[in-house]
Amino acid sequence: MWIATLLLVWAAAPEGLPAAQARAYELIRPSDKDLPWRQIGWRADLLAAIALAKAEKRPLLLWVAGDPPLERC
Amino acid sequence: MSDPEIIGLIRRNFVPVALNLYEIREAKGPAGDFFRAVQKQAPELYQGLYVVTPEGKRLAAHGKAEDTPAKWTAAVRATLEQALKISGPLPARTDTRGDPPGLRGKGFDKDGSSLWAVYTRPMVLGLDRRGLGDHALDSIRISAEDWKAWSPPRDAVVGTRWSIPPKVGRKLHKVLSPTSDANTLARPDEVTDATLKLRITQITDGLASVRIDGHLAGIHTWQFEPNKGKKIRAAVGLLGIGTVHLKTGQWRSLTLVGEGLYSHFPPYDEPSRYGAVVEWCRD
Repeated sequence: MWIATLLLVWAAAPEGLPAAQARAYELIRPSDKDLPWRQIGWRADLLAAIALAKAEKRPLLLWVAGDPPLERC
Repeated sequence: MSDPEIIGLIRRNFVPVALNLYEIREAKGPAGDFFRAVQKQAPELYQGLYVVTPEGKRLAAHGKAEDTPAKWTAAVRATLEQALKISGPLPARTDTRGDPPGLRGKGFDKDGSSLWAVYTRPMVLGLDRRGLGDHALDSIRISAEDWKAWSPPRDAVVGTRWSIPPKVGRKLHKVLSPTSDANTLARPDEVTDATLKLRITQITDGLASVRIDGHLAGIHTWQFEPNKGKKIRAAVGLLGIGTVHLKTGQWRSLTLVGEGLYSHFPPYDEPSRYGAVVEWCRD
């Protein structure tokens, strides 16, 4: 188990993530490359988006999800 | 929506809006009214995509679950193309900027709360890339009151230890599923263990480095027939680091990395490994 390895390593590196944990972090936390849909300039304010769509004379695309659909980090 | 063609189609043609279903369907006022009127035109949809005119007329919609990403991509493309066929050709958008990002993983809201970022991912072979599954993103709301529980004791020194009350620790329940799907995730009241122990390892100019050791476990009861009542189990070991200002008790940063075991309900209950990250920073 790599968590056991981390426990052993941690004592030597209390100021930051030990190598194995840092490796796990890199695998788990997605990069921008992993989340290409963030390239879309999503709006969060529906009324402002409606006004913009009217001004631009184009449709709105509503992406509706049961949780906050956009994430930042 | 990770397909480059789909992203291009959206960026060129539509004003894209991301909405939380639970909030927008209950919203008072014109935004909620607009959405509810749209929803009535596509009663078959629970969540998904709606393409509508600025007046709220449905052009196309899609929310049916597809069994492969390729099928989902094809269905989304067909939905967008159907909408474009009705609306006619549109000039490409020139300004495709979105709204500024929210507070997820960073800073404080007006009421002193924060939104910790959560990431989970199947890691059936541990750190071996061959066993990695899809990323899942989630978040945890930490109230100003919760933050107080995370503050170190007054007059803390190197070696000072404290624990997070289980009631607050249960808020990390979002790490109890590799997919972060609410249907598979133990709710806070289903968390059976929420142990979070902290220790100051170093102090530099009033800023304490903190090590966090934790363990979370939960048993979720499946809510839907024909498997209603069956149990889903998960347990996660957490290791973390953070920094906190001793004078104010305010945290500056926090990162937790977890290794979990998840067992779906029988007969799919072979335990599988997954990883979790929780993180937040002040600035």
